[in-house]
Amino acid sequence: MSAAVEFLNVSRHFGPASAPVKAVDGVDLTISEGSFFAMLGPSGSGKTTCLRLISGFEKPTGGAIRIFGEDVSNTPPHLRNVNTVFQDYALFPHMNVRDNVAYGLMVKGMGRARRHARADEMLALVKLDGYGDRRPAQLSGGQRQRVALARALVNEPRVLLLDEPLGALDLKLREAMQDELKALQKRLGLTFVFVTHDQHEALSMADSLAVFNEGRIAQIGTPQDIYDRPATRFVADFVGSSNVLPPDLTRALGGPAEWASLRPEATRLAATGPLTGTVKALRYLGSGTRVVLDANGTEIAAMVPAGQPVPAEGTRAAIAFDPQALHLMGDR
Amino acid sequence: MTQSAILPAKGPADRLTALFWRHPRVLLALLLTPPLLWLGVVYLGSLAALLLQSFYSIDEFSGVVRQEFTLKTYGELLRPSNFDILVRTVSMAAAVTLACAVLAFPIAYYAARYARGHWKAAFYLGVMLPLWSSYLVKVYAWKLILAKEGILGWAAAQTHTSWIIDGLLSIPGLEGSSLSTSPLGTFMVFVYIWLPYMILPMQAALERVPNSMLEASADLGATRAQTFRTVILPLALPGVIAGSIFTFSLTLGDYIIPQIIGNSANFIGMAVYQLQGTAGNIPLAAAFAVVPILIMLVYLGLARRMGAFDAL
Repeated sequence: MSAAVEFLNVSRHFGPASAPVKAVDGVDLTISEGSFFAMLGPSGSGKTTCLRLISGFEKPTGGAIRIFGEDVSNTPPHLRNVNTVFQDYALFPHMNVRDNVAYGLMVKGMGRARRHARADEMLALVKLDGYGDRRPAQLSGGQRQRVALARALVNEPRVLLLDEPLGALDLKLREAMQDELKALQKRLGLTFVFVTHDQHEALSMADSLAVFNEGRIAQIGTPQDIYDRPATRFVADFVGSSNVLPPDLTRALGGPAEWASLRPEATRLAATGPLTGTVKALRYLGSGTRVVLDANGTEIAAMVPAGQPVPAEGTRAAIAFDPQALHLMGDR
Repeated sequence: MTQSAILPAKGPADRLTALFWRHPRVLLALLLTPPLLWLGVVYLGSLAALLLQSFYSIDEFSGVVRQEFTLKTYGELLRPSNFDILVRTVSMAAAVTLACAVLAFPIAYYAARYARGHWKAAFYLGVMLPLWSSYLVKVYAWKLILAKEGILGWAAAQTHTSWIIDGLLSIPGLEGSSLSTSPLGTFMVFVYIWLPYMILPMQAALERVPNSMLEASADLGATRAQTFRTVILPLALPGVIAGSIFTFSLTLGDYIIPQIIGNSANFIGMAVYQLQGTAGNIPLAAAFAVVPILIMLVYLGLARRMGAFDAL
């Protein structure tokens, strides 16, 4: 499998050279062809800037970016064979849906009849047949999102970039769109690069993902890698709701004296165990209850599966866990 | 101490607010009556009176206005001497509007998309400042600038570019002994005076075009020129139309600039001024004044049909 997008020590600094704001700082990255790649991170972590570096709306201040092996450092956005689904969709309000979708073909000089036929095909692909004559303002958020997708796909880009495309949708619609996007990507066999700050979205949709923190990549891997074996404290904390254990607590739990992560769902409550604490908070999640224990000032969370007894707040409980679930991270 | 669920009214303001809450239409009526009276009586009423006058005619011997409905006065507008005035004024207004649009666009575009902080304040000040000083002072200042011995002529002589001005002044229709006595001078001063009225609505319209829309256009393969033509211009068009309504109608109605600068050829505003003053021909003055209104209505109708307001 060849590389669709490569970042070679790419930086994007803003502001004066003496005190730069390092939006992206020395990023190395390979996105393989046909994969669904997610860039995950909190806001301001550099993930969106990386996406804009691929589309060409930002120029790197250092390093090189290759798309299918070609250096695109001097290629403006309109000559890059990549297309973007924008966060706010950026549909043109003065055009109807069909003309919006056909826009990329129109600026290439394709005739009206042909491009409208193509646009209608794309609208059928995103299940919006018959909506061509409407204005974007007459559509719901989910429908606009599909129009934006159709408009980006009509040019048959080699890489599709999606900038938090589901952020504005409500939960139910978002989950439906996640499944649809994933199915569409499989069907088209296209490389999707997806930016999100939602860890569940990234884990459930991506083939592989990069976790960004402060302009750098904290970890790249498959969702499983990242979830089960976080490389740093930041990743463990940001992806999911893992317990990040300081060295002394790891040792108290029977491990070596280094930072470790422990998934709440790998723990259970027991009468006795290596660590006891006071039940401080309970959060009912439907599939189970998340119990937070206060163990001598350190908080540690455990999951009680649905149907099992939940301790009352203020009572004492011990934590037991599968030793293999304790993932050591050294001092990172 | 337990409090009642209903707080006692503290005074007339509380009681009045309660009245408005119970009868929202009372507040609406109170708020709307003064502006509706103003708009209905002072604005539209006087306009209707004007329209009425234009359907009267003047008795050529006694000079008395005959209060009978006739289209005779409008017929007089088509007399060559009067029709010339209409054509001259409308062409000038169209040329001024076009020039204002072309000059204003880059300024408005810069202000809307790039200027931040102090530069934005400087932009507003630069555009508004000329509006604060007296209109007459500015026009007379331009008369001096454009005069044969003025700074423009002097600068041209110093840089050996007088031939440009001389060449322009020899074009048929623009003749004059200097820019200040040529229709070209009238045009330049009109453009200067009305430019802010074009820049401000344009800038407001451009400011509402999100950056992501321009990026989307480029992302889909459009060149800068294509983005300008198919995205920026259509989205800014309501602002351009608003600005052009100002520049067009202000030029149509102005009677001072063509009096001070240019070759004293009549414009609609000057004709109205002379007809209702010295000549006492109110019906013809009214008929002249109706022409700009009709032109603006036709213009707006065309703009609407072309989809200028679709993005609103």
